[in-house]
Order: sequence, then C-alpha cells, then structure tokens
Amino acid sequence: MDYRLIINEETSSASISIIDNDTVIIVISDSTYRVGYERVSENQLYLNINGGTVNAYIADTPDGAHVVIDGLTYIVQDADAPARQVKRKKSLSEIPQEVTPPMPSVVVRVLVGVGDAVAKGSGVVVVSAMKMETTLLAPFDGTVTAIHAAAGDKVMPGQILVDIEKNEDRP
Amino acid sequence: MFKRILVANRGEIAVRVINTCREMGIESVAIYSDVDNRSAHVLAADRAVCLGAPSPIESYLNIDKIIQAARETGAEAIHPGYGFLSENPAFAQRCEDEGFVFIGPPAKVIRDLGDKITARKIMIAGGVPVVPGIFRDEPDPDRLMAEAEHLGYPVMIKASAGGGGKGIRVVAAPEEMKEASRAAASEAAAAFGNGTIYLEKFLSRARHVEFQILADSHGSAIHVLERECSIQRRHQKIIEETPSPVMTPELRDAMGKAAVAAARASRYVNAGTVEFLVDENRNFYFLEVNTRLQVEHPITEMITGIDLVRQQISIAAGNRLSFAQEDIAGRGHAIECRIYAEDPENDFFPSPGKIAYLKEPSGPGIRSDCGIYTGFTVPFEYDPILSKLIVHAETREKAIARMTRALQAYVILGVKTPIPFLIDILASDAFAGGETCTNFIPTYFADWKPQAKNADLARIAYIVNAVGKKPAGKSSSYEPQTVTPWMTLGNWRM
Repeated sequence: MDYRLIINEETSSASISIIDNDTVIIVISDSTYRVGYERVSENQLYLNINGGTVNAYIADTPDGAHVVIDGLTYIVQDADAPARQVKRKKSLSEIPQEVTPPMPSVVVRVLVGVGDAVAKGSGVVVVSAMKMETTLLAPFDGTVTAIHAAAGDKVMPGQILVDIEKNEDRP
Repeated sequence: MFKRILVANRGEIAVRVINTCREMGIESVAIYSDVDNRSAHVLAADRAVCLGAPSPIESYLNIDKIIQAARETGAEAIHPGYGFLSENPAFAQRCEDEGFVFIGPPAKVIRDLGDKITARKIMIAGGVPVVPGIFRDEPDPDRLMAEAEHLGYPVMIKASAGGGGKGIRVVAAPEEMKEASRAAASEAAAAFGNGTIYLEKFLSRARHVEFQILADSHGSAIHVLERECSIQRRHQKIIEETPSPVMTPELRDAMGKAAVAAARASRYVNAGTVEFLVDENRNFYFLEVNTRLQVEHPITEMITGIDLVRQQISIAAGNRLSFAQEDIAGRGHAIECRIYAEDPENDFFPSPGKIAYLKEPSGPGIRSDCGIYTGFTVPFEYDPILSKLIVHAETREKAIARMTRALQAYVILGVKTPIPFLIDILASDAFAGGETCTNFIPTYFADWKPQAKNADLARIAYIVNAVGKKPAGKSSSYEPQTVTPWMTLGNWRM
C-alpha cells in the first residue's frame, strides 16, 4: 500500500508492508523504518520506530491530520485523500462485499473450505492485528469458490482472502 | 468574608479565580458571551449569566450588563481578572457606587496610575527613579523631535492610556519621528479610546523586571519579590521567570523598597505590580504600575507558596495582611510559558479552531493554568491565550529542563501554538546564560522557523493511524469477541 504525504508543502512517498500483527515496515523516500505499534486511544499511538519509543498524538482536523510528537506539531495531508475516502456503514445490515481485512493483519484461521455453502454474516476468516482478533464475515448467501489465504499469512486491506459466489441466481 | 463573587472575565484567569473562590467556600458567578457558553470558566462556576453577543463591548467590556448580572445573582464583590475592565477606573467607580466591592485598588488609584504621565509624576514626587523622558503629552511632532534630541536617540513613543504593546514605536532617528508619532497615536486611540502619547529614552539592552506588591486597607504595604519578563515578542511577554538572572540581594532590596515606595506614593490597596527597566549597569527606572493581577502571577506563587488571588479577596474583604516584609522569601526557580492559539509558522497569526485533543503535562513542580479542554472551540473574538504552563524547580537550570520536558509532553491538537518556538528559546545558549533583555527575540530569534526534522515520524504516525483505526460503535450481537470488519474498516474500495 502506498501513500503520498505532504508536510510543509513537501511530498514524500511512503509504502507499508506488514511483518506481523503489530509490526510493519514503512519505507519513506530512501529510509526504512521498522515500526511496532499499539493504539493507546483514539488520539494516541505508542510506536517503536527502529528501536526508539515514540508517543504520537494525532487528530483529524479540517486542514489535515494534526500530529504532535515531543511538542512539535505537524500537519499531514494525504495527496490521494479523496480516493481513500471511506463511507462508514451506518446500518448493521451492510457488510463489505469482499472478504478483506480492515488493517494489515495475520491470518489466524480459515473457517471455510472450497465448495462450502455460507450464509450472509457467517464467519469466513479470522485475522489478528494490534493484538485484536477480527472475524471477517460472508457478505451474502453463497458458495465458497476459492481461498487465497492460509493461517500465518500476512495480509493487507484490499487483498481478497476468500471468493464467494452469490446465491441469488440459483433456483 | 464574601458569600458570592462575580468574576468579570473569561478563559484561564476566570478559572483561576473561581478555583480559589471554591477553596475559600465562596460561591462564584461567571459571565459569558454566546460563543463562550461552554467555556471552561462557565462550566467551573456555581452560576453563570449570559451577556449576549460576543463582541467585547457587548459582553466582557459591558459595564451595565455586568453590574446587572451582579445584582441579579446577589454577588457582593466583583473580581475583574486581567485585561478587559480590570484597569478601567469607570468600572471600579461604578462598582463602588452600586455597592459592590471591586477586588482591586480604589477607582482613584486606578485612574491616577492608569495615566502613565500622572503615574510618573507621582513616582517622582515619591522619590522613585523614573525612565528619562518628557512628562507631558505632546501631540506636536516638531516639539516631540526637539525633546527627542534633548533625550538622545533612540527614543520610544508610548501611549499614555494603556499598555499591552499598543501605541508603542521605537524611533531611532529624527526622520522617523513624524510617521511614528502619527501611527502610535492612531493605534492608541483605537485601543484605548485615547491617542495621547509621550516620550521616553529607549534603553536598548534593558531588562523588564517587575515587583509584585500587596497593600491592605490598614496601611501595610509589602513587595512579594520580582519577576523577569524580558522575553517579549512585539512587546507582548511570552516567557517569564523568577528570580531574575540579573538580580543581586542588594538590587532586590533597593528595587523592593522602591516598589513599596511606589505603592505608598499612590496610596495603593490590594495586589498590583510595579514595573521597572534595569539597564546594563543595574540602574533601575520606574516604568509603570499595573493596577491588577498580572498574567504571570503564578511564578511568584510557586516560589513563595502564597495564593495571590486569595490575598486579593482577603484584602478586599477588609482583612489585614497576615504577613510582613520579613516573612517574604522565595525558594527555587519558577518559569512560565504562555500558550497562545497562534501559528508560529505564519508570523504568529491567531489560530482559532476546535481543540481536537488536549493533554496537559504533569509531575512534580508542574502547574497548568488552562482555559481550554478537548472539544472546546476557541473563539476568535478574544485574546488567544489558551493556557499558561508554569514550572518550579530547585535551580534555574533544573527549571529550564523541567519546562522543556513539560512543553514536549504538552499535546494540543486542532489549533497551532508557539510551543515549538518556546522549546527552541529554552534550548538556546542565550536563554541558558540568562541573557534575557527586551530585545532577546529580535537579537537571537529574528528569523526563527520551525524545524520539520522529524517529519518522517509524523508520516509514520499518520499511516499507522490510517490503517489501524479504532473500532467505532457497538456490535448489536451479543458476541463481544467478534469485531466485524465493517466497523473497523480502513481503506478499501467497492
């Protein structure tokens, strides 16, 4: 996953790849950072960046994300922000149409096999990230046609883990 | 003792006064304008009265409305805080006329000392050394120029009716005099309703050292040590400390005596501050008296343990001072940094907005006088001071380290603040060496720009935050262990 982030009118490209459920590698321009992370609260991240502890405070504001580290404030803007906009689902009945993890995760357990019938909302894959397990659900009634992940795999948001064919056209 | 006090102010100072009222068992009444209906001082008070439209003249400067609020709520005394009506003799007079105790000096004293020219005359008669200058207002620029020649350039044009950095111009050469006097008079008229200006010799490497005074209504007057306030930006103080690095026991004794002489000469009652300029040879000159509590009063409280607001209330209630001059002693070193909603990257332009997140520092010797909270929207109609950060430590060096640590731990998200600027000043050799004089910032920090040295760390934080958003909302199923992806969704596309 790639980002182009602007601070003080300087844009840097960054890419992220995951190591395990609480560690990622982030490469910004020519620098590589090994980042351990834990979310303390909505506004505080406890980070270990290349061995050093960093408490980062962050909040979204109209002019970008305000980040404060050690008393210094940075305004970070995402050059690709409109494309990344997510519509938060308000209704409980809406489930993502793809079986994909919400954050860089490690697959803990695949709950289905190819050919299985699944009901909408039933568990399909269990993933783990930031020490928290998340069960990804079947978006609709259907049949599992392919599985693209196995326990222990490191997966990223956007990656489809299980293909399910919708039942609607079946008699 | 009063049962109920109305606090005629807002923000951090109103919270500060309300806190002491609470400790004394006195009910507090807050006043507020429409945009301040959820302000910290309103939330802290026992009662609150809305004054209406937010512009200062319709709210915090509106004497009629404030007197009305005091009457409605049965307040017996009114504390004016600093700024707004605190040095307005008409307000003090009106309080007296309407039967409310004004927590401050008598209206006549405020009037006399509020006019800088009259104040100087009083001081000269009282034997207090004053800054060389002319003792009358002089609107004619040619006459001003003649006087300036007599004093010797550089000279400073100042407003007679007020301070706070308004109506001040430094004139280095005769050619600048005409325009500078016109501009100063115009600024003074806009800020104080009075364009009268006068002239002082400009002491370029002077320090601004002020003495806290306390006087009761029974004839006792003492000083409560000094404060060094030389770090100023555009004549507004941003860092203050006590003791002053330039002070010696002899100088403190001499200046302290002069401060008390100033109090007596003006028949001062209650808390006030006598400001002096100290030149490179440790000569000191009276500048003015501020007839109110100062913004930087907490540093005096930290080194002496005295609650100055409590003293103000006690004196106003008619009590004698409970200590004498020989009881006053300072311990250790205290520093204050003012935190404004200002953007240091944009010439310190005010930066109002919503406080998305606030985390104040804590620990031994840390005091935060804060007027904001997470979720509060800072209005743009008023002075942008958000809070004051004060530290106290055993030595100046330790106090600098403590203030630096506290500033780095201070998190304010949503508005810009000068915290990075303050950190750099405290880290400078000049500050460490105590070279605090009134041209400190132009000398050492004229072209300061914030360093984006750890910008990558901020990018990393942004990315981690984006991909690992906290689950929002509750699951309706009774399986708390299952967190479904649509609640924790990060970046994805249909």
